[in-house]
Amino acid sequence: MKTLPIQLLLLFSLLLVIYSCEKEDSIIEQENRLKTVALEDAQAFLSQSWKKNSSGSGNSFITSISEEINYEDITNTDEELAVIPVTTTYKHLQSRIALLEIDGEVQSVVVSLKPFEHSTPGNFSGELLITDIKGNFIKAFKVENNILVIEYIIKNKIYKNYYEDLDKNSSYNSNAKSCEDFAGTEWCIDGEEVIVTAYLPTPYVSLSHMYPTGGGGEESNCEVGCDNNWNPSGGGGGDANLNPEPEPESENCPEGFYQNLEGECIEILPCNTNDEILDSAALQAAFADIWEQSGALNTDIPMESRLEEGGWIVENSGRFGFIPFDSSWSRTPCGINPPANWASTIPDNIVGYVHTHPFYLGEDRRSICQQAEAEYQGGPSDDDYFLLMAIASEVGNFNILGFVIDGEQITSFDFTRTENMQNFNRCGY
Amino acid sequence: MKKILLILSLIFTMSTYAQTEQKNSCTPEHTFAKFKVELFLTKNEKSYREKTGTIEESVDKISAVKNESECIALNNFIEKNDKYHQINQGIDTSLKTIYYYKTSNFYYIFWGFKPEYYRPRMGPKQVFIVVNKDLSQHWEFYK
Repeated sequence: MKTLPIQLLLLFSLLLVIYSCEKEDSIIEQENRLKTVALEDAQAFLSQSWKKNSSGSGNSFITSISEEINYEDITNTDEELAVIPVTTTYKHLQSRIALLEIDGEVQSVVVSLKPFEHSTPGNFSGELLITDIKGNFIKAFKVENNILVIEYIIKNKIYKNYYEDLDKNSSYNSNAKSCEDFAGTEWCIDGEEVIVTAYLPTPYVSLSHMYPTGGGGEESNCEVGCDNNWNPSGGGGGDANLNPEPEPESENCPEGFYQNLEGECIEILPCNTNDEILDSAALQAAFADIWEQSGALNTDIPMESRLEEGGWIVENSGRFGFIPFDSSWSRTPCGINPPANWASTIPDNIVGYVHTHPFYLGEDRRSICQQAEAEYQGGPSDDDYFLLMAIASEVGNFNILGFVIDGEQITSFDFTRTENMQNFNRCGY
Repeated sequence: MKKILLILSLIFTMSTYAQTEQKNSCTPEHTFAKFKVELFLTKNEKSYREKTGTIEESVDKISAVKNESECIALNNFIEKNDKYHQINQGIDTSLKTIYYYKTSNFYYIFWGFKPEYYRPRMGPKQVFIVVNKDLSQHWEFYK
Protein backbone atom coordinates (compact mmCIF):
# COMPACT_ATOMS: atom_id res chain seq x y z
CA MET A 1 0.00 0.00 0.00
CA LYS A 2 2.89 2.31 0.81
CA THR A 3 4.14 2.12 -2.76
CA LEU A 4 0.84 3.39 -4.26
CA PRO A 5 1.55 7.13 -3.78
CA ILE A 6 5.02 6.63 -5.24
CA GLN A 7 3.54 4.77 -8.24
CA LEU A 8 1.00 7.54 -8.79
CA LEU A 9 3.71 10.20 -8.59
CA LEU A 10 5.80 8.31 -11.14
CA LEU A 11 2.81 7.93 -13.45
CA PHE A 12 2.06 11.66 -13.21
CA SER A 13 5.69 12.55 -13.94
CA LEU A 14 5.69 10.23 -16.95
CA LEU A 15 2.56 11.85 -18.33
CA LEU A 16 4.08 15.29 -17.81
CA VAL A 17 7.23 14.31 -19.68
CA ILE A 18 5.20 12.83 -22.56
CA TYR A 19 3.06 15.97 -22.82
CA SER A 20 6.12 18.26 -22.78
CA CYS A 21 7.85 16.22 -25.46
CA GLU A 22 4.78 16.27 -27.72
CA LYS A 23 4.47 20.02 -27.37
CA GLU A 24 8.17 20.49 -28.08
CA ASP A 25 7.87 18.24 -31.12
CA SER A 26 4.98 20.23 -32.55
CA ILE A 27 6.92 23.47 -32.19
CA ILE A 28 10.00 21.92 -33.77
CA GLU A 29 7.84 20.51 -36.59
CA GLN A 30 6.29 23.93 -37.13
CA GLU A 31 9.57 25.76 -37.08
CA ASN A 32 11.21 23.27 -39.38
CA ARG A 33 8.76 24.19 -42.15
CA LEU A 34 10.11 27.74 -42.21
CA LYS A 35 13.79 28.42 -42.67
CA THR A 36 15.87 31.50 -43.15
CA VAL A 37 17.20 31.77 -46.68
CA ALA A 38 20.98 31.70 -46.38
CA LEU A 39 22.83 34.76 -47.65
CA GLU A 40 24.44 32.90 -50.56
CA ASP A 41 21.07 31.35 -51.53
CA ALA A 42 19.40 34.75 -51.40
CA GLN A 43 22.15 36.25 -53.57
CA ALA A 44 21.85 33.37 -56.03
CA PHE A 45 18.07 33.76 -56.18
CA LEU A 46 18.33 37.48 -56.85
CA SER A 47 21.09 37.04 -59.40
CA GLN A 48 19.04 34.45 -61.27
CA SER A 49 15.94 36.64 -61.19
CA TRP A 50 17.86 39.66 -62.40
CA LYS A 51 19.49 37.73 -65.25
CA LYS A 52 16.08 36.54 -66.41
CA ASN A 53 14.87 40.10 -66.19
CA SER A 54 17.77 41.56 -68.16
CA SER A 55 17.50 38.92 -70.86
CA GLY A 56 13.81 39.63 -71.25
CA SER A 57 12.80 36.10 -70.33
CA GLY A 58 11.69 37.14 -66.86
CA ASN A 59 9.33 39.94 -66.02
CA SER A 60 9.65 43.66 -66.21
CA PHE A 61 7.88 44.33 -62.91
CA ILE A 62 11.07 44.68 -60.87
CA THR A 63 13.21 47.45 -62.31
CA SER A 64 16.17 47.35 -59.93
CA ILE A 65 17.41 45.23 -57.04
CA SER A 66 19.56 46.52 -54.21
CA GLU A 67 22.69 44.63 -53.31
CA GLU A 68 21.80 45.02 -49.66
CA ILE A 69 20.16 42.04 -47.96
CA ASN A 70 18.66 42.53 -44.51
CA TYR A 71 17.41 39.86 -42.17
CA GLU A 72 14.29 40.80 -40.24
CA ASP A 73 12.52 39.14 -37.34
CA ILE A 74 9.50 36.89 -37.72
CA THR A 75 7.30 36.51 -34.67
CA ASN A 76 7.12 33.18 -32.86
CA THR A 77 10.18 31.70 -34.54
CA ASP A 78 13.92 32.16 -34.57
CA GLU A 79 13.94 32.06 -38.36
CA GLU A 80 14.30 35.36 -40.22
CA LEU A 81 12.99 36.90 -43.38
CA ALA A 82 15.54 37.93 -46.02
CA VAL A 83 14.48 41.39 -47.17
CA ILE A 84 15.91 43.17 -50.20
CA PRO A 85 14.94 46.71 -51.27
CA VAL A 86 13.80 46.86 -54.90
CA THR A 87 12.19 49.29 -57.25
CA THR A 88 9.28 48.20 -59.38
CA THR A 89 7.22 49.68 -62.15
CA TYR A 90 5.27 51.32 -59.30
CA LYS A 91 8.10 53.78 -58.73
CA HIS A 92 6.24 55.71 -56.05
CA LEU A 93 5.88 52.65 -53.80
CA GLN A 94 8.49 51.56 -51.31
CA SER A 95 9.03 47.94 -52.30
CA ARG A 96 11.04 45.04 -50.97
CA ILE A 97 11.41 41.43 -51.91
CA ALA A 98 10.87 39.11 -48.95
CA LEU A 99 12.48 35.67 -49.22
CA LEU A 100 11.72 32.71 -46.99
CA GLU A 101 12.40 29.01 -47.34
CA ILE A 102 9.17 27.07 -46.88
CA ASP A 103 9.24 23.29 -46.97
CA GLY A 104 12.68 23.38 -48.60
CA GLU A 105 11.80 25.86 -51.34
CA VAL A 106 12.73 29.53 -51.53
CA GLN A 107 9.51 31.52 -51.75
CA SER A 108 9.47 35.16 -52.79
CA VAL A 109 7.01 38.02 -52.66
CA VAL A 110 7.21 41.76 -53.20
CA VAL A 111 5.77 43.83 -50.37
CA SER A 112 5.07 47.46 -51.29
CA LEU A 113 3.98 50.27 -49.04
CA LYS A 114 2.39 53.59 -49.79
CA PRO A 115 2.32 55.65 -46.61
CA PHE A 116 -0.41 58.24 -46.18
CA GLU A 117 0.53 61.84 -45.51
CA HIS A 118 -0.31 61.50 -41.84
CA SER A 119 1.86 58.41 -41.39
CA THR A 120 4.64 58.99 -38.92
CA PRO A 121 7.68 56.97 -37.87
CA GLY A 122 6.45 54.32 -35.48
CA ASN A 123 2.80 54.98 -36.34
CA PHE A 124 2.26 53.72 -39.87
CA SER A 125 -0.81 54.54 -41.92
CA GLY A 126 -1.01 53.65 -45.54
CA GLU A 127 -1.69 51.01 -48.15
CA LEU A 128 0.14 47.71 -48.30
CA LEU A 129 0.29 45.68 -51.46
CA ILE A 130 1.65 42.15 -51.72
CA THR A 131 2.41 40.77 -55.18
CA ASP A 132 4.54 38.00 -56.56
CA ILE A 133 7.80 39.03 -58.23
CA LYS A 134 6.00 39.31 -61.56
CA GLY A 135 3.61 41.85 -60.10
CA ASN A 136 0.60 39.54 -59.82
CA PHE A 137 -1.75 40.54 -57.03
CA ILE A 138 -1.70 38.49 -53.83
CA LYS A 139 -3.09 40.68 -51.06
CA ALA A 140 -3.83 44.31 -50.28
CA PHE A 141 -4.45 45.99 -46.97
CA LYS A 142 -5.14 49.37 -45.55
CA VAL A 143 -3.28 50.18 -42.35
CA GLU A 144 -4.44 53.01 -40.12
CA ASN A 145 -2.28 53.96 -37.15
CA ASN A 146 -0.55 50.60 -37.05
CA ILE A 147 -3.84 48.72 -37.25
CA LEU A 148 -4.69 46.54 -40.23
CA VAL A 149 -8.18 47.84 -40.69
CA ILE A 150 -9.14 46.69 -44.14
CA GLU A 151 -8.27 43.79 -46.37
CA TYR A 152 -9.10 44.30 -50.02
CA ILE A 153 -10.15 41.20 -51.87
CA ILE A 154 -10.17 41.72 -55.59
CA LYS A 155 -12.91 39.72 -57.19
CA ASN A 156 -12.44 41.17 -60.63
CA LYS A 157 -9.16 42.51 -61.83
CA ILE A 158 -10.14 45.56 -63.76
CA TYR A 159 -7.58 47.99 -64.94
CA LYS A 160 -7.71 51.70 -64.48
CA ASN A 161 -7.69 52.36 -68.22
CA TYR A 162 -10.94 50.45 -68.54
CA TYR A 163 -12.55 52.75 -66.01
CA GLU A 164 -11.09 55.82 -67.65
CA ASP A 165 -12.64 54.75 -70.95
CA LEU A 166 -15.90 54.05 -69.17
CA ASP A 167 -15.74 57.41 -67.51
CA LYS A 168 -15.39 59.25 -70.81
CA ASN A 169 -18.69 57.80 -71.93
CA SER A 170 -20.43 58.39 -68.65
CA SER A 171 -22.63 61.33 -67.80
CA TYR A 172 -21.23 61.17 -64.31
CA ASN A 173 -17.64 62.00 -63.55
CA SER A 174 -17.57 59.99 -60.38
CA ASN A 175 -16.50 56.64 -61.76
CA ALA A 176 -12.88 57.63 -62.05
CA LYS A 177 -12.82 58.72 -58.43
CA SER A 178 -14.62 55.69 -57.11
CA CYS A 179 -12.25 53.52 -59.09
CA GLU A 180 -9.34 55.24 -57.46
CA ASP A 181 -6.41 53.03 -58.16
CA PHE A 182 -5.10 51.10 -55.23
CA ALA A 183 -1.87 52.58 -53.91
CA GLY A 184 -1.32 54.35 -57.21
CA THR A 185 -1.08 51.11 -59.17
CA GLU A 186 -3.16 50.19 -62.19
CA TRP A 187 -5.31 48.03 -59.98
CA CYS A 188 -8.89 49.05 -59.48
CA ILE A 189 -10.55 47.38 -56.56
CA ASP A 190 -13.74 46.31 -58.26
CA GLY A 191 -16.34 44.36 -56.33
CA GLU A 192 -14.14 44.91 -53.37
CA GLU A 193 -14.74 43.11 -50.16
CA VAL A 194 -13.37 44.56 -47.01
CA ILE A 195 -12.67 42.64 -43.89
CA VAL A 196 -11.49 44.06 -40.65
CA THR A 197 -8.68 41.92 -39.44
CA ALA A 198 -7.45 41.35 -35.91
CA TYR A 199 -6.10 44.36 -34.10
CA LEU A 200 -2.40 43.93 -33.84
CA PRO A 201 -0.20 46.36 -31.97
CA THR A 202 1.97 47.07 -35.00
CA PRO A 203 1.40 46.56 -38.70
CA TYR A 204 2.35 42.91 -38.64
CA VAL A 205 1.45 40.91 -41.70
CA SER A 206 0.87 37.22 -41.38
CA LEU A 207 3.22 35.06 -43.44
CA SER A 208 0.12 33.11 -44.46
CA HIS A 209 -0.96 36.24 -46.39
CA MET A 210 2.44 36.65 -47.97
CA TYR A 211 3.01 33.02 -48.85
CA PRO A 212 -0.43 31.47 -49.39
CA THR A 213 1.22 28.19 -50.35
CA GLY A 214 2.50 27.46 -46.91
CA GLY A 215 3.73 30.25 -44.70
CA GLY A 216 2.60 31.10 -41.24
CA GLY A 217 1.72 28.19 -39.04
CA GLU A 218 0.10 28.49 -35.67
CA GLU A 219 1.42 27.75 -32.28
CA SER A 220 0.69 28.51 -28.69
CA ASN A 221 2.47 31.10 -26.56
CA CYS A 222 2.52 33.32 -29.59
CA GLU A 223 4.05 36.75 -29.44
CA VAL A 224 1.58 38.49 -31.71
CA GLY A 225 -1.64 36.93 -32.85
CA CYS A 226 -1.20 33.19 -33.16
CA ASP A 227 0.92 32.75 -36.24
CA ASN A 228 4.15 33.91 -37.84
CA ASN A 229 4.12 37.58 -38.67
CA TRP A 230 6.47 40.15 -40.11
CA ASN A 231 6.42 43.87 -39.56
CA PRO A 232 6.95 45.35 -43.02
CA SER A 233 7.20 48.91 -41.71
CA GLY A 234 10.68 48.21 -40.48
CA GLY A 235 10.17 46.48 -37.19
CA GLY A 236 13.15 44.20 -37.25
CA GLY A 237 16.73 44.09 -38.26
CA GLY A 238 16.67 46.07 -41.45
CA ASP A 239 17.35 49.71 -41.89
CA ALA A 240 14.47 50.40 -44.20
CA ASN A 241 12.75 53.65 -43.46
CA LEU A 242 9.32 53.04 -44.85
CA ASN A 243 7.61 55.86 -43.06
CA PRO A 244 8.00 59.20 -44.75
CA GLU A 245 9.57 62.10 -42.99
CA PRO A 246 6.68 63.98 -41.44
CA GLU A 247 5.68 67.14 -43.21
CA PRO A 248 6.73 70.19 -41.24
CA GLU A 249 3.14 71.00 -40.33
CA SER A 250 2.50 67.39 -39.19
CA GLU A 251 4.80 68.04 -36.31
CA ASN A 252 2.14 70.34 -34.95
CA CYS A 253 -0.20 67.40 -34.35
CA PRO A 254 0.29 65.68 -31.01
CA GLU A 255 0.24 61.91 -30.71
CA GLY A 256 -3.23 60.50 -31.09
CA PHE A 257 -4.15 63.03 -33.77
CA TYR A 258 -3.78 62.95 -37.50
CA GLN A 259 -3.49 65.80 -39.88
CA ASN A 260 -6.19 66.14 -42.48
CA LEU A 261 -5.70 67.61 -45.92
CA GLU A 262 -6.36 71.06 -44.56
CA GLY A 263 -3.58 70.72 -42.03
CA GLU A 264 -5.95 70.38 -39.10
CA CYS A 265 -5.17 67.94 -36.31
CA ILE A 266 -8.00 65.44 -36.00
CA GLU A 267 -8.27 63.25 -32.95
CA ILE A 268 -8.10 59.57 -33.79
CA LEU A 269 -8.59 58.12 -30.36
CA PRO A 270 -11.77 56.05 -30.11
CA CYS A 271 -14.63 57.99 -28.65
CA ASN A 272 -16.99 56.11 -26.44
CA THR A 273 -20.55 56.68 -27.64
CA ASN A 274 -22.04 53.56 -26.06
CA ASP A 275 -23.09 52.58 -29.55
CA GLU A 276 -21.32 49.30 -30.28
CA ILE A 277 -20.97 50.07 -33.97
CA LEU A 278 -19.68 53.60 -33.53
CA ASP A 279 -17.29 52.51 -30.78
CA SER A 280 -15.60 50.04 -33.13
CA ALA A 281 -12.10 51.39 -33.87
CA ALA A 282 -12.14 49.78 -37.30
CA LEU A 283 -15.40 51.47 -38.23
CA GLN A 284 -14.22 54.80 -36.88
CA ALA A 285 -11.25 54.51 -39.24
CA ALA A 286 -13.59 53.57 -42.10
CA PHE A 287 -15.91 56.47 -41.30
CA ALA A 288 -12.96 58.87 -41.21
CA ASP A 289 -11.91 57.47 -44.56
CA ILE A 290 -15.25 57.93 -46.32
CA TRP A 291 -15.52 61.42 -44.86
CA GLU A 292 -12.14 62.30 -46.35
CA GLN A 293 -13.19 60.75 -49.66
CA SER A 294 -16.31 62.94 -49.60
CA GLY A 295 -14.07 65.97 -49.93
CA ALA A 296 -15.88 68.07 -47.35
CA LEU A 297 -13.13 68.57 -44.82
CA ASN A 298 -14.14 72.18 -44.29
CA THR A 299 -16.74 74.67 -45.35
CA ASP A 300 -14.37 76.44 -47.77
CA ILE A 301 -14.36 73.47 -50.13
CA PRO A 302 -16.84 74.16 -52.96
CA MET A 303 -20.00 72.15 -52.47
CA GLU A 304 -20.09 71.00 -56.07
CA SER A 305 -16.74 69.25 -55.68
CA ARG A 306 -17.92 67.16 -52.72
CA LEU A 307 -19.41 63.69 -53.11
CA GLU A 308 -21.54 61.40 -51.01
CA GLU A 309 -19.70 58.20 -50.09
CA GLY A 310 -20.82 55.17 -48.17
CA GLY A 311 -20.95 51.45 -47.74
CA TRP A 312 -22.21 48.45 -45.86
CA ILE A 313 -21.50 47.74 -42.20
CA VAL A 314 -20.97 44.03 -41.62
CA GLU A 315 -20.29 41.86 -38.63
CA ASN A 316 -17.97 38.85 -38.64
CA SER A 317 -17.77 36.86 -35.41
CA GLY A 318 -18.47 39.88 -33.26
CA ARG A 319 -16.15 42.21 -35.18
CA PHE A 320 -17.52 45.01 -37.28
CA GLY A 321 -16.25 45.70 -40.75
CA PHE A 322 -16.94 48.06 -43.63
CA ILE A 323 -17.49 47.35 -47.31
CA PRO A 324 -17.66 50.39 -49.60
CA PHE A 325 -20.55 50.60 -52.04
CA ASP A 326 -19.58 49.24 -55.41
CA SER A 327 -17.54 51.69 -57.44
CA SER A 328 -20.11 51.56 -60.23
CA TRP A 329 -22.71 53.31 -58.06
CA SER A 330 -22.88 56.91 -59.19
CA ARG A 331 -22.10 59.52 -56.57
CA THR A 332 -23.06 63.20 -56.52
CA PRO A 333 -22.83 65.81 -53.75
CA CYS A 334 -26.52 65.17 -53.07
CA GLY A 335 -26.91 61.43 -53.30
CA ILE A 336 -25.80 57.97 -54.30
CA ASN A 337 -27.71 56.13 -57.00
CA PRO A 338 -27.40 52.37 -56.87
CA PRO A 339 -27.88 50.45 -60.12
CA ALA A 340 -30.93 48.30 -60.80
CA ASN A 341 -29.21 45.20 -59.41
CA TRP A 342 -28.22 46.96 -56.18
CA ALA A 343 -29.86 44.35 -53.93
CA SER A 344 -27.54 41.63 -55.20
CA THR A 345 -24.59 43.50 -53.70
CA ILE A 346 -25.91 43.40 -50.12
CA PRO A 347 -23.47 41.31 -48.06
CA ASP A 348 -24.91 38.40 -46.10
CA ASN A 349 -23.60 39.59 -42.76
CA ILE A 350 -24.92 43.15 -43.07
CA VAL A 351 -25.91 44.98 -39.88
CA GLY A 352 -26.22 48.47 -41.30
CA TYR A 353 -25.37 50.97 -43.99
CA VAL A 354 -23.64 54.30 -43.75
CA HIS A 355 -23.27 57.23 -46.08
CA THR A 356 -22.05 60.78 -45.89
CA HIS A 357 -23.85 64.06 -46.40
CA PRO A 358 -20.87 66.22 -47.36
CA PHE A 359 -22.34 69.36 -45.82
CA TYR A 360 -22.28 71.36 -42.62
CA LEU A 361 -25.37 72.41 -40.69
CA GLY A 362 -26.78 75.63 -42.08
CA GLU A 363 -25.12 75.43 -45.51
CA ASP A 364 -27.29 76.53 -48.41
CA ARG A 365 -26.96 73.79 -51.02
CA ARG A 366 -30.00 74.63 -53.13
CA SER A 367 -27.82 75.52 -56.11
CA ILE A 368 -26.65 71.91 -56.38
CA CYS A 369 -29.34 69.83 -54.66
CA GLN A 370 -32.76 70.32 -56.21
CA GLN A 371 -35.57 71.06 -53.76
CA ALA A 372 -33.22 71.03 -50.78
CA GLU A 373 -33.86 73.16 -47.72
CA ALA A 374 -32.35 76.65 -47.51
CA GLU A 375 -30.15 75.63 -44.59
CA TYR A 376 -28.89 72.05 -44.36
CA GLN A 377 -30.66 70.43 -41.40
CA GLY A 378 -28.75 67.16 -41.08
CA GLY A 379 -30.14 63.68 -40.51
CA PRO A 380 -31.52 61.11 -42.93
CA SER A 381 -33.96 62.01 -45.68
CA ASP A 382 -37.05 60.00 -46.54
CA ASP A 383 -35.04 58.55 -49.43
CA ASP A 384 -32.33 57.41 -47.00
CA TYR A 385 -35.06 55.80 -44.90
CA PHE A 386 -36.70 54.12 -47.90
CA LEU A 387 -33.35 52.57 -48.78
CA LEU A 388 -33.00 51.28 -45.23
CA MET A 389 -36.43 49.68 -45.44
CA ALA A 390 -35.66 48.23 -48.87
CA ILE A 391 -32.46 46.66 -47.48
CA ALA A 392 -34.35 45.34 -44.45
CA SER A 393 -36.97 43.80 -46.74
CA GLU A 394 -34.32 42.23 -48.95
CA VAL A 395 -32.47 40.55 -46.09
CA GLY A 396 -35.54 39.95 -43.89
CA ASN A 397 -34.00 41.76 -40.94
CA PHE A 398 -35.59 44.93 -39.61
CA ASN A 399 -32.82 45.51 -37.07
CA ILE A 400 -30.60 46.92 -39.81
CA LEU A 401 -29.38 50.39 -38.88
CA GLY A 402 -28.68 53.44 -41.00
CA PHE A 403 -25.94 55.99 -40.29
CA VAL A 404 -25.46 59.42 -41.80
CA ILE A 405 -22.18 61.28 -41.37
CA ASP A 406 -22.10 65.01 -42.01
CA GLY A 407 -19.72 67.80 -41.07
CA GLU A 408 -21.08 68.11 -37.56
CA GLN A 409 -22.46 64.80 -36.40
CA ILE A 410 -23.33 61.18 -37.02
CA THR A 411 -27.01 60.28 -36.99
CA SER A 412 -28.24 56.73 -36.52
CA PHE A 413 -31.75 55.66 -37.45
CA ASP A 414 -33.77 52.49 -37.73
CA PHE A 415 -37.13 51.30 -39.04
CA THR A 416 -38.96 53.70 -36.72
CA ARG A 417 -37.56 56.58 -38.80
CA THR A 418 -37.47 59.21 -36.02
CA GLU A 419 -38.38 57.44 -32.79
CA ASN A 420 -34.97 55.87 -32.18
CA MET A 421 -32.96 58.42 -34.11
CA GLN A 422 -29.81 59.49 -32.28
CA ASN A 423 -27.18 62.12 -32.97
CA PHE A 424 -23.57 61.53 -31.98
CA ASN A 425 -20.66 63.92 -31.98
CA ARG A 426 -18.10 63.20 -34.66
CA CYS A 427 -15.45 62.55 -31.97
CA GLY A 428 -12.68 63.24 -34.43
CA TYR A 429 -13.59 60.56 -36.95
CA MET B 1 -66.53 62.41 -98.89
CA LYS B 2 -63.04 63.89 -98.43
CA LYS B 3 -64.50 66.75 -96.39
CA ILE B 4 -66.25 64.31 -94.08
CA LEU B 5 -63.07 62.33 -93.61
CA LEU B 6 -61.13 65.51 -92.89
CA ILE B 7 -63.69 66.64 -90.31
CA LEU B 8 -63.72 63.20 -88.70
CA SER B 9 -59.95 63.12 -88.51
CA LEU B 10 -59.89 66.63 -87.01
CA ILE B 11 -62.48 65.61 -84.40
CA PHE B 12 -60.48 62.48 -83.63
CA THR B 13 -57.25 64.47 -83.25
CA MET B 14 -58.89 67.07 -81.03
CA SER B 15 -60.55 64.49 -78.83
CA THR B 16 -57.29 62.60 -78.44
CA TYR B 17 -55.49 65.84 -77.57
CA ALA B 18 -58.21 66.77 -75.11
CA GLN B 19 -57.94 63.34 -73.50
CA THR B 20 -54.19 63.75 -73.15
CA GLU B 21 -54.68 67.12 -71.54
CA GLN B 22 -57.21 65.64 -69.15
CA LYS B 23 -54.80 62.85 -68.18
CA ASN B 24 -51.99 65.34 -67.64
CA SER B 25 -53.89 67.32 -65.02
CA CYS B 26 -53.50 64.51 -62.54
CA THR B 27 -50.33 62.73 -61.57
CA PRO B 28 -49.34 59.09 -61.48
CA GLU B 29 -49.96 56.73 -58.59
CA HIS B 30 -47.02 55.02 -56.98
CA THR B 31 -46.49 52.88 -53.90
CA PHE B 32 -43.47 54.94 -52.93
CA ALA B 33 -45.52 58.15 -53.12
CA LYS B 34 -48.23 56.68 -50.90
CA PHE B 35 -45.55 55.50 -48.51
CA LYS B 36 -44.11 59.02 -48.35
CA VAL B 37 -47.45 60.43 -47.23
CA GLU B 38 -47.89 57.59 -44.76
CA LEU B 39 -44.44 58.40 -43.39
CA PHE B 40 -45.53 61.99 -42.85
CA LEU B 41 -48.65 60.90 -40.98
CA THR B 42 -46.98 58.25 -38.85
CA LYS B 43 -43.22 58.38 -38.60
CA ASN B 44 -41.92 61.86 -39.40
CA GLU B 45 -41.62 64.35 -36.55
CA LYS B 46 -44.88 64.64 -34.59
CA SER B 47 -44.46 68.41 -34.56
CA TYR B 48 -45.14 68.39 -38.32
CA ARG B 49 -48.53 66.83 -37.76
CA GLU B 50 -49.33 69.11 -34.83
CA LYS B 51 -48.41 72.16 -36.87
CA THR B 52 -50.59 71.20 -39.82
CA GLY B 53 -53.46 69.68 -37.87
CA THR B 54 -53.06 66.36 -39.68
CA ILE B 55 -52.70 64.41 -36.47
CA GLU B 56 -56.15 62.84 -36.86
CA GLU B 57 -55.80 62.04 -40.55
CA SER B 58 -56.14 58.34 -41.26
CA VAL B 59 -53.55 56.50 -43.34
CA ASP B 60 -56.39 54.36 -44.70
CA LYS B 61 -57.65 57.42 -46.52
CA ILE B 62 -54.41 58.10 -48.38
CA SER B 63 -54.98 58.06 -52.11
CA ALA B 64 -53.73 59.70 -55.27
CA VAL B 65 -55.81 62.66 -56.42
CA LYS B 66 -57.71 61.44 -59.46
CA ASN B 67 -60.52 63.93 -59.71
CA GLU B 68 -59.83 66.20 -62.68
CA SER B 69 -61.12 69.39 -61.11
CA GLU B 70 -59.06 68.79 -57.96
CA CYS B 71 -55.96 68.18 -60.08
CA ILE B 72 -56.54 71.40 -62.03
CA ALA B 73 -56.96 73.30 -58.78
CA LEU B 74 -53.71 71.84 -57.42
CA ASN B 75 -51.93 72.67 -60.68
CA ASN B 76 -53.14 76.26 -60.33
CA PHE B 77 -51.94 76.32 -56.74
CA ILE B 78 -48.46 75.35 -57.89
CA GLU B 79 -48.48 77.78 -60.82
CA LYS B 80 -49.43 80.70 -58.59
CA ASN B 81 -46.66 80.08 -56.10
CA ASP B 82 -43.36 81.36 -57.53
CA LYS B 83 -41.17 78.98 -55.54
CA TYR B 84 -43.18 75.86 -56.32
CA HIS B 85 -43.63 76.93 -59.90
CA GLN B 86 -39.85 77.20 -60.25
CA ILE B 87 -39.32 73.80 -58.71
CA ASN B 88 -41.90 72.32 -61.05
CA GLN B 89 -40.26 73.96 -64.05
CA GLY B 90 -36.79 72.87 -62.91
CA ILE B 91 -37.32 69.13 -62.67
CA ASP B 92 -36.22 66.76 -65.38
CA THR B 93 -39.67 65.73 -66.57
CA SER B 94 -38.30 62.73 -68.41
CA LEU B 95 -37.38 61.20 -65.05
CA LYS B 96 -39.42 62.97 -62.39
CA THR B 97 -42.95 64.09 -61.80
CA ILE B 98 -45.06 65.96 -59.32
CA TYR B 99 -47.29 63.84 -57.08
CA TYR B 100 -50.71 64.86 -55.72
CA TYR B 101 -52.03 62.78 -52.86
CA LYS B 102 -54.78 63.38 -50.35
CA THR B 103 -56.45 62.25 -47.15
CA SER B 104 -59.87 63.30 -45.84
CA ASN B 105 -58.99 66.93 -45.12
CA PHE B 106 -55.61 67.63 -46.71
CA TYR B 107 -53.64 67.44 -49.94
CA TYR B 108 -49.96 66.45 -50.09
CA ILE B 109 -47.74 67.69 -52.90
CA PHE B 110 -44.17 66.61 -53.62
CA TRP B 111 -41.82 65.70 -56.45
CA GLY B 112 -40.10 62.41 -57.09
CA PHE B 113 -39.00 59.92 -59.68
CA LYS B 114 -41.65 58.57 -62.03
CA PRO B 115 -42.77 55.08 -61.07
CA GLU B 116 -40.83 53.53 -63.95
CA TYR B 117 -37.57 55.17 -62.82
CA TYR B 118 -37.99 54.75 -59.09
CA ARG B 119 -35.59 52.63 -57.10
CA PRO B 120 -34.22 53.02 -53.59
CA ARG B 121 -31.42 55.55 -53.42
CA MET B 122 -29.76 58.00 -51.07
CA GLY B 123 -30.73 61.60 -51.58
CA PRO B 124 -31.23 64.96 -49.90
CA LYS B 125 -34.27 66.02 -47.93
CA GLN B 126 -36.76 67.48 -50.36
CA VAL B 127 -39.73 69.75 -50.17
CA PHE B 128 -43.06 68.26 -49.06
CA ILE B 129 -46.12 70.51 -49.11
CA VAL B 130 -49.27 69.99 -47.07
CA VAL B 131 -52.31 71.96 -48.23
CA ASN B 132 -55.69 72.18 -46.56
CA LYS B 133 -58.78 71.13 -48.49
CA ASP B 134 -59.87 74.60 -49.64
CA LEU B 135 -56.27 75.44 -50.64
CA SER B 136 -56.31 78.48 -48.38
CA GLN B 137 -53.42 77.37 -46.21
CA HIS B 138 -50.27 75.40 -46.81
CA TRP B 139 -47.18 74.23 -44.90
CA GLU B 140 -43.77 73.37 -46.22
CA PHE B 141 -41.47 70.67 -44.85
CA TYR B 142 -38.17 69.12 -45.92
CA LYS B 143 -37.97 65.42 -45.41
